[in-house]
Order: sequence, then C-alpha cells, then structure tokens
Amino acid sequence: MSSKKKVLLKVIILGDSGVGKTSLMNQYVNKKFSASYKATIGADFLTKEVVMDDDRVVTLQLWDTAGQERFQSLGVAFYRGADCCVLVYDVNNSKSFETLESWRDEFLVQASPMDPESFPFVVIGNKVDVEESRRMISSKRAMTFCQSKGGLSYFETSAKEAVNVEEAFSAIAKQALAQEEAGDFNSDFPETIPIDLKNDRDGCAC
Amino acid sequence: MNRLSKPEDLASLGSASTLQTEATPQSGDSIGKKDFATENSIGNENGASTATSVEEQPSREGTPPPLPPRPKNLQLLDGRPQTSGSLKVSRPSLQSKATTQLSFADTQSYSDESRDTISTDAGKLKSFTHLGKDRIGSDADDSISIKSFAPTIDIGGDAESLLGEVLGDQEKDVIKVLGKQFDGMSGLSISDVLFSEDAQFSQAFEHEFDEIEDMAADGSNEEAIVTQWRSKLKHFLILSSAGKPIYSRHGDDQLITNYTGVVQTLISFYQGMSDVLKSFTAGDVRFVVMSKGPLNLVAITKLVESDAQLRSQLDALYMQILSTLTLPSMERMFANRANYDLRRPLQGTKTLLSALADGFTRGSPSTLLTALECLKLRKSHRQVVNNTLLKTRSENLLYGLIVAGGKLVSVVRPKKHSLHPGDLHLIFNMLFEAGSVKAGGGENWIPLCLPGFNNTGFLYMYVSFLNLDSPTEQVEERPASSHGAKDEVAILLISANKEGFFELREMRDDLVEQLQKNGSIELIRTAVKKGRMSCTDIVPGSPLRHFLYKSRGNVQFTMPSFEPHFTSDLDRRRLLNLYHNLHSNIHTRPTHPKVHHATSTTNISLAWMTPLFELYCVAPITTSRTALAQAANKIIQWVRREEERVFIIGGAVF
Ligand SMILES: Nc1nc2c(ncn2[C@@H]2O[C@H](COP(=O)(O)OP(=O)(O)OP(=O)(O)O)[C@@H](O)[C@H]2O)c(=O)[nH]1
Ligand SMILES: [Mg+2]
Repeated sequence: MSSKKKVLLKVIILGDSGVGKTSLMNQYVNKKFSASYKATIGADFLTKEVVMDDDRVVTLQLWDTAGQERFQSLGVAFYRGADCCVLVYDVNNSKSFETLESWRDEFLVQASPMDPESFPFVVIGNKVDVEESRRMISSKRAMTFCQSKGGLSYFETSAKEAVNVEEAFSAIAKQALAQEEAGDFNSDFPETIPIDLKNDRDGCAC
Repeated sequence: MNRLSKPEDLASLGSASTLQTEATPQSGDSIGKKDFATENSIGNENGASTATSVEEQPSREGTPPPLPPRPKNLQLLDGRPQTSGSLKVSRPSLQSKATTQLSFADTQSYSDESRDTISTDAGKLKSFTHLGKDRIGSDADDSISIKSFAPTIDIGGDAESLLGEVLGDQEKDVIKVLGKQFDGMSGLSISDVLFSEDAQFSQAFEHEFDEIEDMAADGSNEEAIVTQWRSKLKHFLILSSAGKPIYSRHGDDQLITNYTGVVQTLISFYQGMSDVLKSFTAGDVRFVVMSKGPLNLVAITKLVESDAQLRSQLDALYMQILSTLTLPSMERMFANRANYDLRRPLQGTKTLLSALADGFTRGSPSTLLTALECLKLRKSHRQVVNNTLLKTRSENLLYGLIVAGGKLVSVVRPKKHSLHPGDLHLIFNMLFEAGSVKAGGGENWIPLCLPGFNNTGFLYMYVSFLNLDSPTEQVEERPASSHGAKDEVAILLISANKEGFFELREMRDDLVEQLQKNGSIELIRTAVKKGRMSCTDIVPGSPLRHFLYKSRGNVQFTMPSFEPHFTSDLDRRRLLNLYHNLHSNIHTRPTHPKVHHATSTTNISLAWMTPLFELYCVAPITTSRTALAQAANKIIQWVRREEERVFIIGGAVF
C-alpha cells in the first residue's frame, strides 16, 4: 500500500458462460483479445487503477466468475461487500439475456446489500461486432429491461474490437465509488472507558 | 491473472499440496485456540497470587526457599551420583542424530502435587493419562501459586533414561574429525559454529526487509516485482470478509489485491460448506488463516514456525487494529457494509503493524513466549521505585510504568486491574520499535485502546522519555538515536481520564524528582548500561550459548545477552528458528514431554517445561547431553536465586 490511500472497489462480473466476461476484463485491463475460448474455472482476479474525472485514483478489484454452472460453488461469501455488479449477456444469444434477471436475483440474495433497490448494477450487451443478421436482442428490448429494474445503466460493447469497453468500465468505476461512499457516515468516536478507581477499590472483594 | 482452482495458477501462491481445515483430524492444534485473551496477565488476581506473595513471603534474597516435601522415589534419586563419569553407555554407532524426542523426565517436585511427578525408572514412560490432564490444565497451571520449588534434571545414574541417547564414544570421534575439518577449512573451531551455513536462507533473509519497488504505470516491471514479492520469507495479509485488502507487509495494492481476492475466495469456499479454513501448505510455504469477525488475517511463512506460533502473531496484529479502532467501532463500520474500506480509519497504523510484523520475522523471544522481559534490579531497589510510584500516584492514574529499552522496570496498578502482556507488547512496539512516537519530542499524550484490558474504549497514555543524565530536565527532543532504543527510559502513565494530561504530567515531574532524590534514577541508569549478562557471567564455564527462561506464573522471561555469539540479525533469526522448533515440539506433542532434546550437526539443544517454567537452551555440538543437562540445571538454580531481581513479582498495587 502506498501512503496515499486509493479507494478500493470490489466489482463482480456475472453472466452466462461464453458471453465474454473474461474477454471484456482482458480487453479493459490488458488491451488484449483472444478468439479462443477458455472457460473460467471458479474465479479470476484482475486489478486496475482508474483515474476518475476529479483526478482521484481508485483501484478496481475485478472478480470474474465462471458462467458454467458446475463451477459456481464459490460460496455465499464470494459476493459479499461488492461495490458494483456487472451483468453481461451476448446480444446474439437470447438465452443469455433471459437469464440476466436470475443472475441479478442470485446476487442480491447472496450479497444481501443494505439497500438492494439502490445497489448499482451495470448491464452489458457484448459481441456487437458480430454481423447484424445474427443479433437476437435489440437495444430497445435491453433498455426496457434496464428501465424495469429501476434504471440500470446499459452499455453495448465488443470485447473483440474494443468498442465501448473503456466507457462501460468507467461508468462501473463511477457507480462503484458512489456506492462505496454512500454508506460513509461519521462514526462516533469510541467512548472513553468509564473507570471509577475509587469505587473499584471499594467494590473489590479482596 | 490469478485463477482459482487451477493447479498451475495456484502456484502463484505456491503449489497446493495439503489443505487443512477444521474438519480434518490432523489440524488439532489446541494451542492455536489459546489466544492472547486467555493468556495470563501479569498479576492476574484470580491467577497467581503473585501480587500478594511479596508481602506474605519473607524476603528470599540470599536465603533459598525451603524445599517442599519430596516423594520417596525422588529422595532415592538424590543419592545417586551426579557426575557424567558414572555413565557407561554402550550404543550402536550412529553417525548423527536427527532431532530426537527422548524419554520423559520431570523430577521436579512441588508440594502436594507429587502425583504429577514422574519417577524416572529407566526408560519407563509412566502414566500418560496424567500428562494429558496436565496439558488440558496447563492454562490453570500458569496461575497455580507455588511458593518454592527445586526442580532439577537429574543427571545421575538415570541420565540414560532421562536424556536418552548420550553421545557414545564413537560419535564423539566423529565430531572430533569433523572439528578438524572445520579447523582446516575456516580457522574456526567447531564449537564456534552453532548453525550450519544455508546460503539460500541467508540471502533471502538479507533482503527480507527491502522495500518492493512500485509497479510502473505500464506494468513493465511486473515480473520483477512479483519475483521480489515471492522471495520474501514472510508475509502478513489482512483483508476484509469482502476480500478487500486492509494491510500487507509487502507489496502495494496493485500487487496484493488479486491475492486477497484469492484468499477470500478460499476462505468463503469453506465457509460455504460450514467449514473453517485454518491453514494449508503450498510447496514450502505455510499459510495460517485466522478469521475474526469482519477481518481475515493470514500469515504466510517459509520460516520455522508452528501454526500456533503464527496464530499468536496474527493475534497481536489483530490487537493492534483494535487498539486503533476499538472493537465496537470497527464492528459498527462493517455493520451492513461489508464493502467498507478499513484502510481509511487505520491510516497511520500501518507503521505499527509493520513494526510488529518485522519483529516477528526477525524473531522475538517475547512473542514466542508471550511474556515480558524486566530490567534486572535488586529487589530492594525495585521496591524503592515501586514505593515512589505509589507515593506519587495521582488520582486518576490507572497504570504507571517505567520502561527501559523494552524492559519493564516497575509497574503500579489498581488491585482489580491486571496488565495484559499483549497490551504491553503493543505499547512497547509503538514506543521502541515503530519509532512513531518520536515526532512528539520527549513528551506525548496518546489515546489508545488496550484490547486485553478492555476492547470497547480508549485510554489515554502520557509518555515521557527521560534524559538519564539530567532527568529532571524536560527532554525537548527524544534522546538521540545514537544511544539506540536499547537504553531509552520512558515513563508511561495511563489514565481513563481524557482531560488528564496536566495531572499526569505533574505526577511525572513529581515522580522523577523523587526517583532522582532517592537514587533510583542512578540505579536504573547503571542497570541499563550494564545490559544483559552473558551465559558465562551467569554460570562461569557454562557451555550454553544462549537460553530463554520463562516464568509461567509471572508471564515474564529472562535471557542472556545475544552477544558475543549472535550479533547479526541473521544469527538471531537462526537462534530463534531453533527456539521456535523447541517451543512447538514441547507444546504440541500429544504426549507432552517434560524434556525435549534436539541435536543437529552443529548444535545440541534442550527444552524443558514444568508448570512453573519453560527453559530453552543451546550449546555447541561438542557439548555432551550430560553437560547440557547440568548447565540447564545451573540456570534454573541461578534463576531461583535471582528470581526477584530478574522478575517483577507483584509490582506496586493500590
Ligand atoms: N466476436 C466476438 N467474440 C467475443 C467477444 N467477446 C468474447 N468473445 C468470444 O467468446 C468466447 C467466450 O468468451 P469468454 O470471455 O471466455 O466468455 P466468459 O463469459 O468469460 O465465459 P465463462 O468463463 O465460461 O463464464 C471466446 O471465444 C471469445 O473469443 C466479442 O466482443 N466479440
Ligand atoms: Mg470467463
């Protein structure tokens, strides 16, 4: 840790297998893309420093999870204390869009954030580079879904061609930071211990 | 990228080999459960009657205490020849011996506990059951009031059964030959070399405290940084239950954050199965995990340390965090906010945590033994200091301490409130190790929580460093570091009164003036200058190179100087490695041996534990076991004679 503390933000990325969660992170952090698919087993971690609009630097701790059901045994505590949750689907795969809601519900149950209504989710429709004819989910349909869930942010990206990836993650960082600071309160300074030495002595049996 | 559950990626933490969780039977480290909170406190009222024994007992200075009645079988032993000459042991010729656990020996006797005494009938291991019982009750044993004792390791005719394999003639020949080789090679005699050379360890240790360079913005030096990070012998990680980093001894956020995520995932994986991950090994690296409410603390080590020892180190780090925040306020921070970033309220605590951590990595007898060291002072002299503290005590004083270079000189405390060794360790660390108090000059007013005393609130500590040459003068600057922390003398006055600064400062002035008048300052100065005695000062001709003696009832320890044999940090670390080994052997064996012997190619060592004390000592390999046992006995006799000088018995109580 350096002396000036950077806020650390925990971001969880959820979505069906193969929608491109790992590819998005890899594009964002390492500026790399690989066409070959290697399923995430358990969880991956990546860290990225982000300079915010106000020049503040925050550290994103990205928790990439496995979409495949058989690898999802990381336990309740895995989701605990997240500052933002990213829901990813593949715009060319309607099933991956339909399961978004259950990913969201799963997260809320497991993470049980203090105020679930206002907890920041960001929805990403990935693989927009693929030819239009194969597209299954229109922007309009996705946006309607986001509206119905209380106005979630929505981004359409391509991890392959690095389209909109920076923008999506900078929105994620912003929302995570807001969430992190939302609960900030002026904690009462702890009390001094009341010790009455005189009474102590009187009360001493010995 | 750290990927979980893929073997080749776990190698970033070392390659996984064994995982230990609560459910696995081999994880039974009962010592680990004994944390600071259950450890005895100095002068604990329900514990040892140490606090009152001073008044009740006639002075022991000069006159040895009466011996307790001894069981018959031991009286027999007394008549046996005490020389090694009587040993005619024929042994099969063994080239060298690995660490060997030997037979049980507890010839110590103390009143009405004789059933706990093992007769030393050759080679027979009697009564395992009572040993087991003894172990369970060992916490209580610490506080049994025992006025006098006369323990010895009998080295008479039963030495064979007591201390097992005494070096045979042939073995001695081997050593002589070896010795010649040593002579030829380096001009050193074999007895000068206590530890065999381990270049890899020396190299790693030399760079252990080097700072890891910061990650370049473009990440170009990542590989070098990761290599540096992994070559550290020891890591401490503290993270929240959300996996957010709170503290790490080595490496910045960029480097650490992935690891804390991995660690948290491992921990939660087991929690998900209603299990607890306590420790695991990956390659040659040991991981010990401790979950405390919203915090997870992890010790990662390549050093010689047991899980229990690592746990007590993690405990100390946890206590430091509580000392900064208090428990209720930390819990409030995390309540309904698992994502809380605890690094903010802990700002400034990093140096304290790192000072503790480095102390553990260097090796700390005090932490190993969870005991404190006192400045050696004549009983009557200490009495004068105690009385002066009592006489000048101001109304709101809770604890008053005089400390010289990390050694306790005198304590004044209310009858009802004992002083916790863990709390004192935190204070000593802050004052003498972290150097964080220097900024304030000679006088400080520090709010702090002493979690062993009460983890719910703050106390206020007035600190004044004395200029021993002109003590009544207010020290403007903390005495120059050229003297080193070793001979700094500080007066610590602790109160629960937030507004107590001027009251305590007045007490300090009064106290120093009185101590000056009655000559105590001069006596303290002399004792500080003298430093610790060497083994041969203590027992002329002793083959011992070093020893640790812990008085379990007083929760204090004494030891000789590290000089002349252990001058470098590396030498000390290797000595501590040896002590750690002895300590864990004698503490974790289910059979609870009273005496444990270890032999390496370069040294011979002994651990000896009774309800009253623990003794650890080491001598060159050229020393016979008999001679080692004799030397150990002489140390016990010395401590018995000097008990009220090397330890604070009771202190000043009001
Ligand atoms: N054309 C195109 N292919 C992509 C894009 N993003 C990812 N892919 C491909 O989709 C496949 C799956 O990508 P991953 O990033 O591994 O998917 P994931 O969501 O991490 O999958 P799991 O780890 O199994 O949960 C890979 O073959 C990628 O190359 C994209 O934006 N466009
Ligand atoms: Mg993946």
